[in-house]
Order: sequence, then C-alpha cells, then structure tokens
Amino acid sequence: MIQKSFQSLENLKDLDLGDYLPVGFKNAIEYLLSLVSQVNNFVELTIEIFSDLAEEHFKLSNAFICGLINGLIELFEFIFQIISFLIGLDGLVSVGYDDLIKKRYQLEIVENVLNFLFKEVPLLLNVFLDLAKNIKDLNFQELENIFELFKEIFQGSSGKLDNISRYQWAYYSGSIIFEIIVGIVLALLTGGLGNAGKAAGTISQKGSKFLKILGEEFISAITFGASDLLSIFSSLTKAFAKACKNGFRGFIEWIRSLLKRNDKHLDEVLELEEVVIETHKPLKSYNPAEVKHFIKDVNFHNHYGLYDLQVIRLRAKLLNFTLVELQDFVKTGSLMKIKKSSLVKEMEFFAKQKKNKFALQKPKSIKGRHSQRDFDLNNCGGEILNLDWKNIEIFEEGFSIVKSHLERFESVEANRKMIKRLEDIIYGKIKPTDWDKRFYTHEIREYRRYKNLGIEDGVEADYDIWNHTHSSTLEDYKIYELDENRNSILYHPDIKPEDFDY
Amino acid sequence: MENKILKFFFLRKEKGNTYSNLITLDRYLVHVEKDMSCLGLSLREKIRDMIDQNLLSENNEQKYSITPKGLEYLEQHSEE
Repeated sequence: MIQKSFQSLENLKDLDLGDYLPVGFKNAIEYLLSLVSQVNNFVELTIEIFSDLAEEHFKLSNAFICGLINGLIELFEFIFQIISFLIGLDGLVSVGYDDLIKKRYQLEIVENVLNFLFKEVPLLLNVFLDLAKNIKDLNFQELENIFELFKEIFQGSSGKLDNISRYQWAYYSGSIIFEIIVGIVLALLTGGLGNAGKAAGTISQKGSKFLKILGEEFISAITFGASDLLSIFSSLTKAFAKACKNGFRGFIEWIRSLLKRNDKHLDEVLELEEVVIETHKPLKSYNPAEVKHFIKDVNFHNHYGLYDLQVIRLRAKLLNFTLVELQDFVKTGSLMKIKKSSLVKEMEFFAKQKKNKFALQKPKSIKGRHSQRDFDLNNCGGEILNLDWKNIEIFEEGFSIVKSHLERFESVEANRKMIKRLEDIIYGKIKPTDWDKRFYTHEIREYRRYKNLGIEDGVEADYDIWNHTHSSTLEDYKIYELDENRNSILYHPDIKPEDFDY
Repeated sequence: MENKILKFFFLRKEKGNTYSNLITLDRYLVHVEKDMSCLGLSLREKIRDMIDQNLLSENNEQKYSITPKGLEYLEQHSEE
C-alpha cells in the first residue's frame, strides 16, 4: 500500500520543469523523485525479507514497519507546520507573485529545510532497512513491554488503549519513536507549555502529552528557531540510527532510556550538536559547480566576468564565507558595479570584522570631502570606494534591497514616494531620472555598509551608525546632498518639504 | 540652529508624533531647512546640550520630544 502511494508520485517525472519555475521548486521536485525511488527500493527489499516470515510474524512485522513509515511522514508534516509557524509562512500558497518576492527570505529557509530533510531521509531509510533485516530476531515480548509503557503514558487511567489488537500495538510500536521526537521538540519549543502543539495536528497532540513526562528539567534555555528545530531533529535521528546499529535490542533500549530519562540531562541523551542549515554552511561544503551556479544568478549586470567570479569565489572560500555572504557581496557588487579588486578588499574587511564579532573600532572622525558631513571613518562599514551612480540600471533585486533597507527606519513619506518611483520604473511606467539613480545606488551601498558592520536586515541602528554609513556612502558617490540651488540631490523634485514628515 | 530643531519637534508634535529620532530630524534639516551646518557628530552634541537645558527630552528608545520649556523657548525666539 505504501509502495502504491509513493509510486503515484512517480508522475512527477512527467512534470514540465520549465524555466518559469524557481530553482528552489525544481530542486524540491528532483529531491521528491529521488525520495520516491528510495522508498520504493526500501519497500521492495522489505517485502523480500518478510517473504520468509511465518504468517503471524509477517503480519506483526508488517504493522511495525508501516508504523515506522507513517510515523516518519507525520513527523515531516509536523516539522513543516512548526517551521511555517516559526517563520510566519501561513497562507503562502494563496499569495501572488509580489507576495512571493516579499517572502523570498522565508522561501529560502523552506528550501533549505527541504534540502536538509531530504538528506536525513536516506539515513532513516537505511536504519529502517537494518531493522527489517533483523526482523527475525525481533523479540515481540520486548516490544510488547515497550508498548505497555507507551500505553501508561498516553492513556493514563482512561484505559482507551486496552482493547486494541496485537497488530495495532505493533503499528504503534513502530511509530513510537516519532512520537517521542515530537514530544521532545515540543517540550523545547514551548518551554513546556505545549501551546505550539495546537498548530501541529494529531501527532503533536499525542506528542504534547510527553511534556508531562519530560518535565521542566529538560527545558532548554535556547531561543528556539528553525535551525534549532533542525538541529534537534538531526541529533535525534543520528542518535536513533546509532542505537539501531545494535538491532532491535538497541532500538528498544534507546526508547526505554528516553522514556525513563535516566536522570540525565536532555543534551546528554540526545547528544545534541550544532547543525547549521544549508544557507549558513561554509562554501567548502559545496562543490564549485554549485557555487558558480548560485553566484551567476546574482551577477545582475553581468558586471563580473568568469575570471572575476572565479577569483571572488576562491577568496570567499579562503575567508570561510557562507554561500549567503558570498551571494550578498556579488549581488550588491554587481548592482553597484563595484570593481573586482575593491570587492575582494571589502570581503577581506568583512571577514576581519566578523572575526572580531563586529566590535566597534577606535574612532577616527573626519569631515567628508564631498558630503561636508562629520563622520567616523573607522566605523562606517568599509573604505570609501570610487563609485559611479550614472551608468546603472534599476533592477528588481536592487529595489527589494532598497525597500528592505528603508524599512528599518522611521517611516517617512519622502522615502515612500521614492520607493513608489522605483517601483514604477521597474514596471516601465516612468523613466529613471538622475535623482532615482542616485537614491537607488545610495541606499544599496548604505545597506552594504550596514551589513559590513554586522547589522542584520530590519535592525534599526542608532543615529551615529546611520550618520557614519550615510556620510561615507555620499563620499563613495562624491555627493553633496544639495545642488547649487539648494535643492535635494537624492530626492526627486516631486518630493515636497512636507513629505519629510515634519 | 536650536530654533530649527525645536521647530521640527514642535511641528511633529502638532501632527501627533510626539517622539522622533535623529535620522528623521537630520533629513528635515538637510532637505527642508537646507541647513547642513550641524549634522552628524555636531548634531548629536547639540541635542545633548538641548537636553541639558531641558528644551528636549529623550525616551528609552533614543527618540526625542520638545518639552514645555522648549515650546516656551521657541515662542520667545520664533522671530529670530
């Protein structure tokens, strides 16, 4: 039955993966196809192994394996619901293209979570296969003992599980491991309250009952996020795989130790270790072809040639950059047409800053030659570059950066109107003027400087930081904010004094 | 300069925005008052002085508002 369900997914092969589909979706479909083939292989091998079993043993073993597979599927569903809850993706399926653009960051997380989970699946299937291979050694009496414990926990004194068949308990014994995983994740996620469980369906309702057993001493002080969830999931599956190396005995002992707690701290039981999700992995964990593909996509103006990209990529690898950090540099560099040599220099600056945990440097106050503004040269997010705002095009990706960068500040009508102008330029409604180009390049460069100071998107730094980054960006483009008639050089003449919200 | 700064906070208050940050004030001074004589580190210094004189007050989010004394000062010096 399981094989039949998965076989129907093979129709995915016939899907036209045209160029219109985002890369992330294509990857997800390719992973799904690979998953279908892995599950089919697993089921075929299991059928072969089970064919030698006596009828009663066969039925019980079959129920047990079905419990394992269904538990795994429910666990994945649970994980996606929690991830969705954590990153606020509710209702994504019904949104339009513009909303998808806005949700790009969340979509990247989902893509990375998918990649992560699909890498865990083969490990789990191998564990299941090992268990299936040892099915003849399965001591059903031992499994029954575990199930008795399981019943105690779930039903308390209600007696709901007393009248179920042997096949049903074999099924539940297969899925018990996933119930435990869900219980632990919920305990950590909710600080023991189980509120998030409401969003997670049947398995979490069962799982949340484990909170009572796991107790407050297991509640970790970690601030829970998507990567923490994956970290725990990964640790649990690895510990599960390790335990199952000793066959059913190991499987049963591990479950028993989890349920009994053995007075150990949760970290010891789970052997928690740091797991970093895909986008935060260092470059060296990717093959060069993958990285080339990712950075080619963000080289918007084709500003960097193949040789340039090669130099940038190798330097980023040497500096131990993550893929996202490298993409960010290539993206902003290409949008602002920063020379390769300057970009590499700034990447080195960023790496140094990161190593120093973005600590503030000894101040060096100067008056900007072009801007005539006082600012701190040592804390403005990098050296002054020689940039040109004239020969640029306004790109949607750049527009997203401008919009996201400005969202960190107090909302001002003048900025809203400039954003609207950039949007109209992208949709071809108006032609870009010099004011638009100056505003666009200024905001992207200022954004880059914020990044170089270790300030994440959406975080509003204080006036001093803004002044240092704003003034140094004016220096990058050799701009004084007022023209000879004392009119603004960054804001379009259509922007009125009252738009500055006084 | 005190007048221009107080005028900004007064106008903001009239529009219902009691507190404002210095980035918005900076933009106002440049693009509305066309005055670039006191920005950045000097503006920060000036604001500190004005708080000491009780012309402005600061909340715990590094935002500022005009005080009754600031309003009085503005009224007295508005012709300058």
